Amino acid sequence: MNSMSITQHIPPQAKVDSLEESWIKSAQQDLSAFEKLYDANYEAIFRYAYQRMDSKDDAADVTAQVFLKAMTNIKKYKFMGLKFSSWLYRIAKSETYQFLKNKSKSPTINVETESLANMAQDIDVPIALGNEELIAALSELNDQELELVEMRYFEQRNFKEIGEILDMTENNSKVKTHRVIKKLQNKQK
Amino acid sequence: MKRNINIDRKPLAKEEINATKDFRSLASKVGIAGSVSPKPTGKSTGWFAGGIAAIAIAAGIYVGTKTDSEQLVQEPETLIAEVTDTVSKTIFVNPPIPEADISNESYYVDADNGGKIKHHTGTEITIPEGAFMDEEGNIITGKVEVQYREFHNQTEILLSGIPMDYDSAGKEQVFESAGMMEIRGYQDGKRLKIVPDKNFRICMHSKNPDPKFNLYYLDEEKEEWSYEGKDSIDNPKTEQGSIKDEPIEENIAKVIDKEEAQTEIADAEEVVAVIKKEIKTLKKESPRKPLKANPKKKNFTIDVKKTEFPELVVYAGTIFEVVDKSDLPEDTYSVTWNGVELLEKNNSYIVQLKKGERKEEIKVIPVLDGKDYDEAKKEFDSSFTDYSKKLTAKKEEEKQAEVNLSKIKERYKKEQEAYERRVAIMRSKMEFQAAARDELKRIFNINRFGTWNCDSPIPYPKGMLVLTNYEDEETGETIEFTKLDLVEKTRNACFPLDASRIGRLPFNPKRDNLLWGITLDGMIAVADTEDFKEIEKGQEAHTFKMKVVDIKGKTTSEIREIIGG
Repeated sequence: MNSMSITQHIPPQAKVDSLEESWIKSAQQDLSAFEKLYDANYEAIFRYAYQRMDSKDDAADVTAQVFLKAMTNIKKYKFMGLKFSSWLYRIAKSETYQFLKNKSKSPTINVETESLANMAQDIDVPIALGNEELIAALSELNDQELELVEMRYFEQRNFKEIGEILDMTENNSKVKTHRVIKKLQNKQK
Repeated sequence: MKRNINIDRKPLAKEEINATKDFRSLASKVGIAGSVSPKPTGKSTGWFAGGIAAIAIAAGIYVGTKTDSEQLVQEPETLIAEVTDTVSKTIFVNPPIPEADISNESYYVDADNGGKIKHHTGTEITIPEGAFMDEEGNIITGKVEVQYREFHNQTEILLSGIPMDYDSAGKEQVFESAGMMEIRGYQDGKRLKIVPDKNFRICMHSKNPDPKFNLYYLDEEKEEWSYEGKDSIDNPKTEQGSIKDEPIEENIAKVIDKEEAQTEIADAEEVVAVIKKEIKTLKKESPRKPLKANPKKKNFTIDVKKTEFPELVVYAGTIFEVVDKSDLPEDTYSVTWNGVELLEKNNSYIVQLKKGERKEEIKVIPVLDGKDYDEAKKEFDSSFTDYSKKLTAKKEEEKQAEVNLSKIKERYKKEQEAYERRVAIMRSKMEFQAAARDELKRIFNINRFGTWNCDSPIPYPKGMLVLTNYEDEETGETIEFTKLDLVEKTRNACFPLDASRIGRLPFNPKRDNLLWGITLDGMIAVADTEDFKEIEKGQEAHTFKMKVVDIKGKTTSEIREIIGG
C-alpha cells in the first residue's frame, strides 16, 4: 500500500510580497501583529467603502467591520496567489452591501469628471455631450456591472486585480468590462 | 435600483482618513491587548465578534473531552494560560458544537502482541505487535488505549470541526469524503506514536465504492491535508445497479390496498345476508297447500278472525278436522259449550272448548271439503307456481352472491399471497444490500496517528453568485455568524464560507443546497433547499430567511437532526 507524503508547494506565479507574507504569518501566530497589515491597508479599504457611500462615518464603520472580520479570519487566509489586499476588498464588498442593506440606504456612485472622460473615450462618445446621459446610464447598470466600471475607470485597477476582488479570472473581468462598455455604447446611440 | 450620485465630490485627504483609524479598539474587540474576552461580545461587534475567544473556549472544551468519559469545563483564562500550545494546535480543529461532536470509542490493546479492533460500524483495525512508541521513540509495552472515531456524512463532518478545505496548485477546493476517521494511541494519558514500518491496517467501513477517492492525512502542524496515495476497495458482489433502498411500505400500496379489499368483501357478504333474509321472509309467506277433509273424521266449523289467523282465511270454507278422535271427550256433542276458541300452540291448531271451569283442548288441522277444496286447490296451484318461481329466483340470486363473495375472497387471497411473496423477496434483497453495504470497506495502511480521510477534492460550486443577507425568519433580525457552511445534500461535502464568501454566496442551483451556521448567540441557523429554490436565475441579491434554533438542552441526536436539514 502506498504511503507517500506530498507537501503542497506555492506555485511560482503566486509569489506575494515577502514583507507582507511575513506580516501575515506573524499575525496568524499572534493577532497583535495584525496592526502592520491594518496600517498598510486601511486607507485603501476606507477609500473603497467611501467610494460607494455618502458618509465618511459610514465608510469608517464599514472599514472597521472589514478589519474585524479579517482579523478573526486571518488564520484562514492562505497564500494561493490571491493578494492580501484583494482578500480584504472581497470582504469590503460584502460588508458594504450588508451595511447599506441594514441601514436601508441607497448605494452611491461617486463620479469624477476626469474618470468620466476616460470612460467616454472608450465608449466613443463626445465628452461634452455625454456626461449627463453617461451618468444616467451608469445608474441603470446592475451591481456587478457598476462594480466593474468603478474599479476600472474610477479606481484605475487593472483587470488582474479586478478579477481577484470579484473572484473571476483576469480574462473574464476583461470580457465582462468590455460588455458593460458595449452596453453603455448602445445606450448612447 | 435607486442610487445616489455625487459628481466631483471633494476627495478626502489621507490625514482625514487616518484620523478614523483605531486599532486598539479593534484589538480589544477580538480579545488581544492584554485581556481575553470569555464570550462573544454581541452583534454590534460584527460577524466573527469574539470569534477568537469563542474558538479558544471551544478548543479548550474539545481538548477536555477528547477522552470519551467526563466533560471538562475550565475557565477560559485559565485554559489559555495552561494549554496555550494545545490551543494553538487544536484551534485548527474547531468543533462548532462540542456537545454534539462525534465521541471517541476507546479500545485496549496489548502493545507487545498487537491485536485487531472491530468498530461498531464494521471497521477493522489490525495492529501489529510492538507498534507503539512514546514521543521520544521508546517502544511501549503493556496495555495501551486506542481512541477511534469515524465520520461518514455531512452532519458528522460539520460537527467535527475538522477543516475540509484543500489547496491544490493554488486552487481552493474542499474535500468530498468517502469516509474519514481519527485514531490516536495513549498510555497513562500520554500520547503515543506508531513505530516506523509498523503500519496499522485499516479496513474502514464506507458507503461509497467510487475509486475516484484518494487517501489524505491531516497534518496538524502544518494545518493542511497531505496526499497519501490511493486506498483499495473491498466491495462484496451486489446486484446490478446501485445499492438503493426500496421501502417496503411503498410496494405494499402497489400490490394491495387492504382497506379496499376489506370493504369489497364486507359489501359482498352483506349482499348474501340480505338475500338470505329475503328468502326466509318469502318462505314464511309460502302458500299453504289445502288439505282435503277426511269424511271419516270429525270436524269443527269455526269463524276465524282474519287478524288472528290470516293464513287460515286464504281459502274460503276452511273447517277444522280432529287429528285424533281419542282427543275428543265422549260428551263433546252432548254438552252445550260456553266458548269455542281456536288457538295455536307448538305449531299446531287447537280447538278449545269451555264450559264453566271445564276446558277441553282438541288438536285439529284446517281442511277443506267439496267445492271449497277444489277452489282452494286451484288457487293454491296458481299461487304456489308464482311462489316457486320467486323462491327459485331468490335462491339463484343467493347462489350468485355467494359465488361472487367467494371470488372476491379468492382474488384478495391470491393478491395477499403475491404481496407476501414480494415482501419476502424485497426483504431478502434489502438485507442482502444492507449487508453488502455494511461490508464495503476502504482499505489502507497508516503510519501515524491522527485524522485520515478518503477524499476527492472538489472546487467551490459555480452556477450562481448572489449577494446575500441572512435574517431570522421569525424576528426578521439580521443574523451574524461565527461559522457558516454551504452543504450540497447529495455529496459528502461542506463548503465553509469565510468572510469573503459569506456575503457573496457561490452555489450550484442544480443541486440540493443547504446553509448551516452558528450564530453569535450560539444558536443554529439553517436555510434549506426550498430557500435556495426561491432564488431566480440572474438574481443578484437574496436574503435568506433562516430557521434559528436554540440548542441548549437538546440531545446530541436532536442537534444532529436539526443540522441534517
